[in-house]
Amino acid sequence: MFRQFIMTACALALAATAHAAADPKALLAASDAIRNPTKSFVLTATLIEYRAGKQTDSNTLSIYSKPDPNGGQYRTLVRFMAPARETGKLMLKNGNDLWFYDPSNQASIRISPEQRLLGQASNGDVATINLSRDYNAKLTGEEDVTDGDRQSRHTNRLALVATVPEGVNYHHIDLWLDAKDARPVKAKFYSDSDRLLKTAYYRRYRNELGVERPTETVIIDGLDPQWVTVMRFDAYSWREIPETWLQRDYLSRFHPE
Amino acid sequence: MSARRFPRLSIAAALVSIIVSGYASAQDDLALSLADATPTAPVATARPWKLNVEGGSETLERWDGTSSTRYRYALDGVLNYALMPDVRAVVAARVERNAETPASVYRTASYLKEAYLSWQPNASQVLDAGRINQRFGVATGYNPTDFFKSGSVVTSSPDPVSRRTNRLGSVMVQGQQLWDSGSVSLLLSPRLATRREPGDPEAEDALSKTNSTNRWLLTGSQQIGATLRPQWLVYREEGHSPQFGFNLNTLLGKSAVVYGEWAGGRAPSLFSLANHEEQDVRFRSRSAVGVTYTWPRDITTTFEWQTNGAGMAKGDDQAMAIRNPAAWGNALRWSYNLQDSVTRQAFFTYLSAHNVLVQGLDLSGFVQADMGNQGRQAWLELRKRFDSVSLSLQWQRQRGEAWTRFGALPERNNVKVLADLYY
Repeated sequence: MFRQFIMTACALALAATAHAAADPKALLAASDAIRNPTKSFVLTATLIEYRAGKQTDSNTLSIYSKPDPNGGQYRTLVRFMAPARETGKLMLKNGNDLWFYDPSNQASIRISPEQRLLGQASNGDVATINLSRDYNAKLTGEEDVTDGDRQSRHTNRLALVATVPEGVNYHHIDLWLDAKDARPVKAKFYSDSDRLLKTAYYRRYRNELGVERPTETVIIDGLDPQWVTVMRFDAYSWREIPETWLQRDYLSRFHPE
Repeated sequence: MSARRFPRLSIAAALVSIIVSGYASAQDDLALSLADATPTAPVATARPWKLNVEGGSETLERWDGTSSTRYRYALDGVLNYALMPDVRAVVAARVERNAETPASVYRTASYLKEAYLSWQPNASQVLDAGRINQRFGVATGYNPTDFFKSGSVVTSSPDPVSRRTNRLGSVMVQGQQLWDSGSVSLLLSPRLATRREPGDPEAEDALSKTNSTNRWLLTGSQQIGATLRPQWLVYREEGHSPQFGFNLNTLLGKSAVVYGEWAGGRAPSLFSLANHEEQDVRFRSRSAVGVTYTWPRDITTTFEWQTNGAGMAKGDDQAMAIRNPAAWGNALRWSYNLQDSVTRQAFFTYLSAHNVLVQGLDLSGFVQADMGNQGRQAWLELRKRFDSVSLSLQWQRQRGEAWTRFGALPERNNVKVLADLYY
């Protein structure tokens, strides 16, 4: 409890300091600390996909994330919980090293970052990502935007550019952070040809693992705005994750219960 | 004139910008309204079993133009249950009822695909004992390092995914030591039936198919750098020389995975193995190299080159088929069971596309071409996914002279309609 309090205090202090100094890198790090718990954890994500206003797909995932002690980025193990036809399948993500495991044929297959397992959401969207590690940030101004609850919010607008474009899903990102506390409000994700790929709204803030975090992301397709995915995050808990879980050869052995 | 037009253009651009911005805002508002209306679903919990009920019919058209229809109902189940915190019991079984017109008499077949106990005292060590399906190989269409594939497949489908799923495990004891970036494992699979070569088409019961000789396999893998993870294998069957294997794949950019799989060692040719002739043992290699590329719109293609040093050189297959048709027939039957090509080179291409035309409709298919003869096999599937059901339409076509691997199959065309229910 005390540890959680200290971590919360640190995140908020960082946010406050960042705001005062308007240092884009610190603002980005503060928003990362709001989106992502800072040590190993597990949560349940539900993805509901809509096309032209009708629900077309849904998935429930158990997501295990652990920060890399050397690089600061997360390694993520995703277990498919629903629908029934997908139950037990696994995805392991460590940067661009991506593996997919199907228990029905004991096959661990390497997949490319462009291969999709979850419809509109990319594999990177469900993985835990510290943007401050993969992107350079520049503060492009202050702006009043409509947030995910249709309220006007005063924000700092950051322009993020990938440090190594081959290593990430999105070439550059526009990110709006609440000017008061560096909470992520909205983001636009672009390809290297400056095509808008997705717009995301971060909302339903709730105290999870000691910090007020967004527990819902609404993703709108850049090309077809009627293609919408609602990602909901629940059942957060701290979870010790052994290193051996995060390698390909363990996938067939993974039984978390 | 142009000076007067610039302000007008600027005003027009600003208006367009406002309209576009307003449209985007309205679309975002609609999306957020959808999210507002999305009910909170109960959190799914993991369960130790999975059940699949399958039903369908298949129309087969033979080379002489006659046709028949086959019906199948199947129940496929997996149980993976923790008996104790560090001991699990795994059982995978399939029961199916098949009938074919005109007789239409249903026959039941059942397969115990897996049944084993797994003891895992810690996250780094595992010991398994029982019937285990161990699969190896990074290639898509042909896996030379998948040493336990011979004789184990229990489906007639040519789809590589289906052939990996519907196969019998071998009875074995296996130990594995894992560390943060790799692992080593040793498995021992004893002879439990009359001695035969693995892949012998005469084997009838499950143990004869999977445990007709003593075998062992040693494997090791180690992560090297960010995206390289080679795997080495040493495999030996009683009475044969050891076979060595190697698997490697890596990323090329963000869209391509390149892979290579190789196995080699002193071994007889397919023809002499199938006909129990004086074996022409010498060093022979098998390999598969390929690339899988993901295109925009969730389309994936694979191109794979396959070699089999135990196969027949160009022209020899036809000559052998003419000189000794019975012996050649044996070689073909063995090649199906070994899942090896008859020719020394073959080419395989695979395509898969998700959400084609409508959401949840997937298209996948492949062409397998044996080089050196005109033997070809093509397979195409349209599958519509629902939460607990999938419906599929499959089409399969063979082409080639009667002495080629695919021309020798009894059917020229197959059309299959299939429904799967998942629990």
